Amino acid sequence: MEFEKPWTEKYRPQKLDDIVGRDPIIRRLKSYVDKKSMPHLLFAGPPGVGKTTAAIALAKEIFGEYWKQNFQETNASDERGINVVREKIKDFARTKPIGGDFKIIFLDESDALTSDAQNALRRTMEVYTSTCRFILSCNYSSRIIDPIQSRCAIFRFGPLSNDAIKFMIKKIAHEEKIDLKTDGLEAIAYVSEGDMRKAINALQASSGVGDSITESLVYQVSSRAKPEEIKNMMKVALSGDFLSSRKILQSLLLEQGLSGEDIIMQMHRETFNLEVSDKEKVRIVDMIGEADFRLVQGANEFIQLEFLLANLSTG
Amino acid sequence: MLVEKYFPKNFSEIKGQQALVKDILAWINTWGNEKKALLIYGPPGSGKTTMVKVLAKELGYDLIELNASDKRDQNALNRIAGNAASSKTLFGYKKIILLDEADNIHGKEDFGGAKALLEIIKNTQNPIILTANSYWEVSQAIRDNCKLVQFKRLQSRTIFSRLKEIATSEGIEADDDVLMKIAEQSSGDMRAAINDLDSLGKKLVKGDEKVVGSRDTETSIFEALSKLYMSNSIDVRKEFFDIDKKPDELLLWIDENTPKAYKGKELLNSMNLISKSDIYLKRAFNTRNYSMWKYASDLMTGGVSVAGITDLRYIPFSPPKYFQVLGSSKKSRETNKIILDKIGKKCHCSRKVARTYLPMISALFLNPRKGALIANFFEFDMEEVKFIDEKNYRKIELAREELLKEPEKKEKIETVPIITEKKVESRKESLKKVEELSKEESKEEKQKNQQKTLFDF
Ligand SMILES: Nc1ncnc2c1ncn2[C@@H]1O[C@H](COP(=O)(O)OP(=O)(O)OP(=O)(O)O)[C@@H](O)[C@H]1O
Ligand SMILES: Nc1ncnc2c1ncn2[C@@H]1O[C@H](COP(=O)(O)OP(=O)(O)OP(=O)(O)O)[C@@H](O)[C@H]1O
Ligand SMILES: [Mg+2]
Ligand SMILES: [Mg+2]
Repeated sequence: MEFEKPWTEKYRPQKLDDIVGRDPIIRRLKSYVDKKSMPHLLFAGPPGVGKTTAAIALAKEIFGEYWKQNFQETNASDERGINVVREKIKDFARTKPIGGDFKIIFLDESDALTSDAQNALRRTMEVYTSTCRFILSCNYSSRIIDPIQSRCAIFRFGPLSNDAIKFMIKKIAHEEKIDLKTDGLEAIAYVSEGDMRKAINALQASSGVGDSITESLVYQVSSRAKPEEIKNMMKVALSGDFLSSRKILQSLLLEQGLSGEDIIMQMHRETFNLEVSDKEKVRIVDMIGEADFRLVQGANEFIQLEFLLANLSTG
Repeated sequence: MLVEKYFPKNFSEIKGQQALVKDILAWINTWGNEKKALLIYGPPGSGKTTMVKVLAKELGYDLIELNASDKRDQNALNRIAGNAASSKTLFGYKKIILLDEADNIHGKEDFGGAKALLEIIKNTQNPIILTANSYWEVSQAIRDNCKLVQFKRLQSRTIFSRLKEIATSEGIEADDDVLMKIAEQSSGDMRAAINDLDSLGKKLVKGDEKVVGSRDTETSIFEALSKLYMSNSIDVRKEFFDIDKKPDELLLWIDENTPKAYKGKELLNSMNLISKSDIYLKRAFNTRNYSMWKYASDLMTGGVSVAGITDLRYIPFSPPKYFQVLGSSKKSRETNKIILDKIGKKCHCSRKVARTYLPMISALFLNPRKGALIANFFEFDMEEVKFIDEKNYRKIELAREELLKEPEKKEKIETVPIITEKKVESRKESLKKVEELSKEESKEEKQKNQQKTLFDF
């Protein structure tokens, strides 16, 4: 059956060298390839910055043609619980490697493992080291219990730089023969916030909607408001005109289909670009924080954001 | 009820479907030569059932009807429709069998219904007519054995002229503008439009049409709201006891109208109470402990009343613009999970991350071919495609069928596209640049990293 891959998969770097903007990390990983050996690894960092990609590429380079047999990927957050560790992971750790000295178990989102499950993992990591290495991937290393951190070499993946994002996006646009405008590229970098997956998805989504990728197309498909729109809404609210700011909010949520979460995040980002005193900015951040909290607790995004606007408009 | 009173008495009163009358008459008059069953499909209130009833009456047929409120499993169908279908006309009576609302006759509850129906259609001695809203909800096998007639949404003009006729003969005073608005709002549904006209009384003025649309009486809520804003008392909450709205919907009404009544601090305090009510509602919903609704109801009514008072004589109340239904059904949650798992498996990520692929997929769905290609990759079934994009799923399914017909192209190579020597070099160079840039940055990053995790993620 004919199909088309999402570009994140189509262009997922297959070799360590093809991973962009992660230089110091790649150098360390390549030394493991040379030695054909590695310790347990902990990859920490935000989404979409190359943790899984690096793990897969590393496995491919270490194991060559046998990489699939020697590499086991598990999503901890979907099947958390201690049983996964006790059964699935242990079973794989026990089996013999094929054509090499060890296998790799890649535990994605390992910070979502309960601490019981993490504790169950400690033993497994030690008992089977002769045949099995772990790569743990997580967003927050602080959520990984100390004993596990101490068993791993730690790699910190920060958000990718704008240049790294732009480089990759330009490359894909070129391969896909897409008319990517400069402002479109900038917009993709803006919405991506250093997350390559977001960037690539924004590019592919735009390509589904329009023929040439412009700034407004990117904001439209990635469900982001133009930064000026958000800023304008805040300004209108701050001037005391609650009803008008609410209209803008309505159009963002209903017509443009943004999520409350995205709007809050953008409001936070724009706070620092407002022409108000620093003291006022502090007050605003405080109010946004409260609103974000309520957004999670509440049922209706519109109502929660509205309260934030009411707050802004009553100085 | 006006819809019943003005039920079309003959073909000429069925508006906007005249061209189809000919087709249908031709089918029944030559019945036996062509397909033995007729499938009429089209949106609600476009005249499908009406057409069949008028047809039977005008041509002197007995109508044997089974609709969705009847059980239509194998037994029932065989008993009622099957008997009628196989028994030749007795005493000269002619029969039409109407299977009204035949969407989903193949569903679980009507077990064996589709198969039985197919047999009945094939062997019937009498004309069978099926009606359905959606072509797609009638199984392919049944469609193939029916002559198809599509009823389109009625045009606003058509509905308008029927409304006008009715208004004149009922002595309803109404602006053409208002009637036209009602016609437009009905989106092609004659029944809805007539019902709206019915609900507006004998004298219609501009703006009346705004009150209809959500199809329940909203006068009582307006009264309760004006008491809420005009007084300053927690007892106002009692005014809302009889109002037939769920608290989440009521909250939206209050949310919509409060800024019209209050300003400044009063407004802020009210918005705070509204926000808190929303949080109580969510808690009640999550814990299925609906006794918590009462706190929300108290705060949004009595609380908001106490928070302020208005001296406005007239507040232009309006229904909420923003309506978001709480939660989702169990089935759709299941589908959602399956979709995310399919994405997660192919894209090496958890459900949480998989969710971030949905906007991209929806965007590709706007283009049926691209949509079909990506749906093929993720191996979504039709229900899942529909879940992601209710509007376009049919087009996508059609495009997928088309793709199946095309001779299979060789599967593309798995890895990153092949790059010529030259490109590799230039790529390496640019890679180097990026490396250098990121080297500089990584120094800064190290110091900033800690902060970033705290504030930004
Ligand atoms: N440094 C990078 N260079 C090139 N492409 C990248 C890089 N980082 C991410 N990508 C692209 O983004 C996609 C997602 O990256 P990856 O799966 O490695 O994210 P991750 O860091 O594991 O994120 P998560 O925490 O969400 O699992 C990949 O398919 C790849 O196409
Ligand atoms: N084309 C029409 N001309 C005149 N009146 C119509 C027409 N269509 C619908 N109506 C009015 O609306 C009422 C409902 O129509 P009908 O029962 O035929 O709808 P339907 O197409 O069968 O809808 P559903 O799919 O909801 O069953 C009728 O009683 C009639 O008053
Ligand atoms: Mg990952
Ligand atoms: Mg009907």
